[in-house]
Amino acid sequence: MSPEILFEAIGRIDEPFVAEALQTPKRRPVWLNLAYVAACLALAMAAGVMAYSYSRPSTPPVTDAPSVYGESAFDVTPATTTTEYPFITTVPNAAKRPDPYVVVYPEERVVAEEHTSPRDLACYARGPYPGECWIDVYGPHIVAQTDPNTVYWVELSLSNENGRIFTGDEIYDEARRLANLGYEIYLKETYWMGYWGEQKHVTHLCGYFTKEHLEYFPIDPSLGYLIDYCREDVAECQRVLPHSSVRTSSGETWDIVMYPELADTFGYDELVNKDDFSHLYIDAVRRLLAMMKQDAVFESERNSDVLYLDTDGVTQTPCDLLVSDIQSYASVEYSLTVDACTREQAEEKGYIQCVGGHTVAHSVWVIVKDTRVDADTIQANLCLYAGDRAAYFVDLTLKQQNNEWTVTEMKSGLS
Amino acid sequence: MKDSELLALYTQRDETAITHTADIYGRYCYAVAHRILNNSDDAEECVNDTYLHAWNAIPPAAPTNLKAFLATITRHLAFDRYKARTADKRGGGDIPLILDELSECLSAGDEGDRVTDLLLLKDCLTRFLSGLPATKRWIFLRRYWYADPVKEIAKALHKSENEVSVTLSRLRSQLKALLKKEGVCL
Repeated sequence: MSPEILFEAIGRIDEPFVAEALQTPKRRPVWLNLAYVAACLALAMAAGVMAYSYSRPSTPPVTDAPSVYGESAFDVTPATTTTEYPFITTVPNAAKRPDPYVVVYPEERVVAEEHTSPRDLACYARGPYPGECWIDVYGPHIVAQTDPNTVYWVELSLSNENGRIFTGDEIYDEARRLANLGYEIYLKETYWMGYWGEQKHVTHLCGYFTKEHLEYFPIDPSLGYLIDYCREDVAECQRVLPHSSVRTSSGETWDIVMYPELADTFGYDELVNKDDFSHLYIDAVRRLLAMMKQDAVFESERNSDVLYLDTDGVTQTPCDLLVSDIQSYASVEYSLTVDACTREQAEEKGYIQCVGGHTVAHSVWVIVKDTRVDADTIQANLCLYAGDRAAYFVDLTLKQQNNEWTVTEMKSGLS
Repeated sequence: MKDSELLALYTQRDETAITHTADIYGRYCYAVAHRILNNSDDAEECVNDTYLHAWNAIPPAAPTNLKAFLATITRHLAFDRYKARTADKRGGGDIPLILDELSECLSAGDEGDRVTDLLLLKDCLTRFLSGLPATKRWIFLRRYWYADPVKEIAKALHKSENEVSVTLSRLRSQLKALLKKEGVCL
């Protein structure tokens, strides 16, 4: 086959692609980069973790184990004494810190030289073993550009000799130990996303650390440490974020990127131009919401997405109905392709790909779960993914009236 | 004049449609043709042919984006002209380079049926492009559809030429992998 044929075939692609390419993509604003940093600080999902040995060199083995989500090692529970979401309790000084619902995740990460193992926690089915310390760095060039006095907001996950992440009250002993050593230690209640999009509540140990603190971190050799951190001096975030601020140890205040209600989030135009899955995901969320609301307000230039409905988790089968319902809106307003299939089929169709246990989505991916079907009512919970990030939920009620199914209730955001 | 008004003129078989088309989109079509042909006279002829083809196509065609529709016609015509011209060994701007780049996506093998190949390729390309992030898709299309020089793509995106070249190289590799997986390119 000659390249001329390929060039000619490219010339025959559908008109929407050609039309889309007429417009120059918007440049991603600088604040967005910074926003990702702050966003991911708040996001306690254990993904994108770079492994490195802290107290003694060790490299966790690469396995073909399934994704971190849903594994027993990560079957977490919150501590009993923390107040309900989204509060944080400090140890020893009480304070509150929002636990935002973050939907943007940075694709790019640059890890400092000392983080030698560019492996991803999602490739492991466990947390760090005792003596191991894995680092998750949020945002580009964080470490490389810092000076010794820079203060980091650090989140710690602890694990035992089996690599099981500590949850609930197990975390307190280490929290007290570090607090007694003089560190500014907090507990933060947050959640990870389970395989089916369920929230797995977990309590994280947090605190402010300098690089020196981190280099001489007094680890307990009986524990494994997973450290998520980010610089705190993201002053630009002030401009971006309208939500509650947090006082840092350097006396500044700054905010966390929060997108609790995607539908009307500021900065949406900029977000959809981000060069990763986020735009697909946000775009599809908005479409989905607009569809479910039977609301045609949202307009998009994109019209070639595949919205893949995962049917694995559905024991009864209202999927056909949901698909046809979504498809009917999609075809009218958005020309959005909707397809329902199992994960296996989705792989065959190229919607998703599993790489080392890590699911990479090539389309926006909706899992239909917790579905209940009655004669005239369907209640479903949809969880929308891009990449392997569980991110957004839609609780949906469909009712049959006059032989027609209509969406009567929809609750989105936190399930 | 809006596209809808222009299309109405075509539908009514009003020949002023061509004049208006030339006024509004003439320069753009010329740019598309010139990218491929790298020759002013050829590009001009190609654009004139574009008007004729559009006149014959609308109706029944009712393009939703007239600019893209015209650009598509122009590109086809320009590439046909380019192919006819290559026998005379006359250069065509970036096209030889682009074809060279695209050859990376293909392995040497027997020529299949041209029509079948085109259909298969189009199908693969559609899926390939659908799965790309917007910016990467834009880069791919500007390079391989519009035949833009890497320098211009980089300038538009405020990136370095090297960054764009690396992105294009990765995209070609991805495309090659897809074509191989689909059995289009064994």
